[in-house]
Amino acid sequence: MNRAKRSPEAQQRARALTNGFIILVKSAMVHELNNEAVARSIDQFRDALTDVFRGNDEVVLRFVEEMVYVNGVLVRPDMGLYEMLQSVERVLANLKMREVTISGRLDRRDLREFLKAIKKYMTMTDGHEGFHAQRFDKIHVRDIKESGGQVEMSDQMRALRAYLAALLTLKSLILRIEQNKKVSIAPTKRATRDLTTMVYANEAVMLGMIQMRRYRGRTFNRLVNCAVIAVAMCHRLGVDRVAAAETALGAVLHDLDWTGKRDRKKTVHQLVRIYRGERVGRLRVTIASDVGRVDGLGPSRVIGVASQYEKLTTIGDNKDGPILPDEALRRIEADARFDKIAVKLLVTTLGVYPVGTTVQLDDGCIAIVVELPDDGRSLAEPIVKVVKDAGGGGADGRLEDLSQSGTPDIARTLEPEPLELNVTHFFLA
Amino acid sequence: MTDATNSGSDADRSRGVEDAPEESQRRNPQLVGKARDVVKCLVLLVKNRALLGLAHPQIRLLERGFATQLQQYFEMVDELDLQLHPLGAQFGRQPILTVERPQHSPFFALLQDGVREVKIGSGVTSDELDAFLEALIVHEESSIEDSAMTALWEVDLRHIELVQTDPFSGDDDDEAGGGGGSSRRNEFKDLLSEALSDSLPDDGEAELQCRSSFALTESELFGPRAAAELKDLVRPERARKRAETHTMSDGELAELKAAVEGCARRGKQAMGLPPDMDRRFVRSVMEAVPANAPPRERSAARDALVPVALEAFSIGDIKTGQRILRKAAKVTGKRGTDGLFPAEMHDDLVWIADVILADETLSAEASREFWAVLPPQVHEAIFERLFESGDLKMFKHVALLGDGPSAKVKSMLVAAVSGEDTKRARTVLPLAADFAKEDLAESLMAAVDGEDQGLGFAALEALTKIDPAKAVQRAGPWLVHEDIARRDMAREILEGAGLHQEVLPHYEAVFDSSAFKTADIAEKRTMYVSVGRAAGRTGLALVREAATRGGMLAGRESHELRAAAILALGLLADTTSRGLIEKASKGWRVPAVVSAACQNALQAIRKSKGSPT
Repeated sequence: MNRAKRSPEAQQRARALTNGFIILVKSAMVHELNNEAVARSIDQFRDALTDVFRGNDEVVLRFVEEMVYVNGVLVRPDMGLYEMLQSVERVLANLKMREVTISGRLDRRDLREFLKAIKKYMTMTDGHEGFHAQRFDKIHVRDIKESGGQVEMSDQMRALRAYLAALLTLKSLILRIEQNKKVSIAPTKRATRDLTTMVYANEAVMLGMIQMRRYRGRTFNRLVNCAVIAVAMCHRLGVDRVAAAETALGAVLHDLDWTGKRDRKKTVHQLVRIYRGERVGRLRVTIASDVGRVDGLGPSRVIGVASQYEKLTTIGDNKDGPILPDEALRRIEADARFDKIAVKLLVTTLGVYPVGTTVQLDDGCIAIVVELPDDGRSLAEPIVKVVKDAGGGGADGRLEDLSQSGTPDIARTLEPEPLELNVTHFFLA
Repeated sequence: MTDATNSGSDADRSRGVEDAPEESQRRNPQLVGKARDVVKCLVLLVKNRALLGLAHPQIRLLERGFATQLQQYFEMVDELDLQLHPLGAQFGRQPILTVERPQHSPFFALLQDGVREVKIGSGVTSDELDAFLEALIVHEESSIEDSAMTALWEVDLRHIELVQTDPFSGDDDDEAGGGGGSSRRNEFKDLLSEALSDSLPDDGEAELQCRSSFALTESELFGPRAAAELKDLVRPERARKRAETHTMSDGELAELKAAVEGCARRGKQAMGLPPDMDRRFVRSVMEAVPANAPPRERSAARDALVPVALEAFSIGDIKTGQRILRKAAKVTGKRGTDGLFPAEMHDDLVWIADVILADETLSAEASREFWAVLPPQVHEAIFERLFESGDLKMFKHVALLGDGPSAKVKSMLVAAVSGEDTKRARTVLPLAADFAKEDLAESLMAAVDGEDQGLGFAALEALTKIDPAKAVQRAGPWLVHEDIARRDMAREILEGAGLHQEVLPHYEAVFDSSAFKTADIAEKRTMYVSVGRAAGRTGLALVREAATRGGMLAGRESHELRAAAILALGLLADTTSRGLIEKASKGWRVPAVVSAACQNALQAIRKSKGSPT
């Protein structure tokens, strides 16, 4: 891992350059090129460029979906950046300008020529062809898809998008149920299938996703999280993808009591209302009814423990509030209501210190459990990412495989919020 | 913006698809023409596959045509890339398909799922194409949870890539969005930003809700005191030991794996479900929806429970079906729902009734029991519906109604008999005669005189059951009708009427007629036998009288007539007849044909041991 690239300074420079580029294009589209605003934006961009050029031979700006990369550094997006990107998206799309490579210091004339070409070809149909044919001295423009390589979002980004899509789809579903509106399960099924694909492709990252805080404890969020855990359990069990996806659907439909009281009867009633006489509805109702029953259907046994874990770690089971992940597992282990094999599977999947848990190591460092590889290691020895050093200062985000000799042990688990840690971020970075 | 989704396969598989032809190449008129041909074949195939079904020979032909066109295209370039829009499709920005309404597009099912681009690679297999085509067919009964993309997700599509619009960043909005597309997109971006941010957003209230009472602050975690405390906390051995207790045995793994996979629904089938799943389902629904629940909830429960009962009936499990219906009746018993079997369920009821009746392993009793659970008004509604639709096959079920059909159904039966559709009238007539006899006589009389001879005969036969005297009155004159079929029919009716005195005059008239005298020996014999059957002893006496008074058996009569009379007496097989036959067989000048008839008649009498045949 190139730590220099990940430094806050690199991030700051990349952001300044991105902002500069967007303002440059935007002002050129709004004003004549001899306008003062354009001149200012040119100077601003050149300054930002100078900073980024330090230590680099060339500067590459890439626009992939909503993401911007500067020399491979992901510019962490915020709403401001999104809005700015949106304002030039038409230019980027029409001119197929998804990658801009700058191979030397630019003077004002270089940039004016570049902007002139943008303005000219934006007025033409299929302007991208002429624009790409135009040669600039130190600027080279490509559409990434045409450059031969398929642009793929990073696995982490795909996972995040699948998770968020499932979250919002479920939010919408629960809202419609609450409003007694007609409901179609197809969007939910699609979302859970994407979720399954992602969990099977990158289980650890998806388990990291469930740490997102925004809607924690809300019914729809709990259902999505339960599905992620259930699919991860299926994955660990060696269940085929289709069966895992079906379990995921069972998981997101297992508690449709939008009041949050987890009334099983309300869920059954909602499922009956949704499915009416459809045969598949019987399976969905029975899976939901059997959750928490030791003699329940296979998916129900898995969903039961996943759901309980989710509940304990997000809302808890009494006024004390959420329970730390390892303690939640202990409580589930001690609870005779749950199927023992399913409990074992849950612990095997998440580890004694579940993926996503914030822990303090015995050397005082704070870390996040990011993975428990299925390689026969002890369940108490996951891979962690160190996020704070022993003095409480920022750490370099190094990964520590606790199964290796000479590595620290986990001393205790912690709540991430008082430490201002956004756990999800560490799975995506 | 789009999100490349290789329906059903992992994203990296999509990279196996060959590179798309260059933009300029795609404008090659020959290539565009070929792409158009492919799509044309596809349109035909999808349309006809939906109409005719997979097994139809026409579909095989169309499939071959489609495969050939595709192959010819792939000889030019390696990938077919189609951009979809609601009113058609484009290839390299050239329109190659235009439709008036989105529903007319063969890609409608995909469009509904937000697919805007289809790429088919040159190595595509027939299995892949088959799954793809199947997904394109929009089934009339849309499933509550399935769509083209959910179906294709299960299939390993290596050479077909479907590119979907991302509902959270594109312009489109899907059903789940409930119309709030823009706010959902913003929310999505907001969440995306939050996830990527390395610091937590400041949302005090949410934070308080999330915070556990176990939370430790930074001051408690760092510094010399914290370090000392850590030493006491660390118990790695204990953690390792705990970890070991969770080792799963192969047996445990296999059992749970089988239980999970057994409930997976592949396509439309779920295999390996426990046999008592329906029972569990019924129990869950009954627990969740009490009898005093609001009408909407009870209607939903009814809709869920009744099909389970009907399925039980359809496999002959009458007791289970009845038990579930009894339970369902508890839910629907209160006012506010439209009974156990609302109109939209009637088609299913008809189907189940047919299944039960057609099942050779089930007795007619099963059918009767099925109909017995349906209230009369449902019978009425079903039969009325069938009658109106012209589907009369279900009238056979009328016979299985325990208390018989209602007045309304009876009137429908009578109306069918006198209707213009003689085929329908003939189908219904036996049932009408059984169940609506009191109102049927006039309709039958009209049918007897009608042009359709088959219907006339059936009506006459039915009339025998309802009003035998009228039937005899109508049939008697036919004994000498020029049409042999009518003569046969008349004998059959008169024999079955059981009115000995009433039929006799008709036979007497026959024997005196010239038509009888010129009839062949077989018919004469039949007529003699018939009069015995129709008029009983009086009829026999008539035959005997004809024989004894010297008429029929006298030497002046033709040999054939004498032989016929003798054979008839043999068939009557009473003592007097036997005497007459024996007498006729004696003498020197008995013709061979008469003698042979006597021998046959006596043999017949011996075989029948004196009982008339």
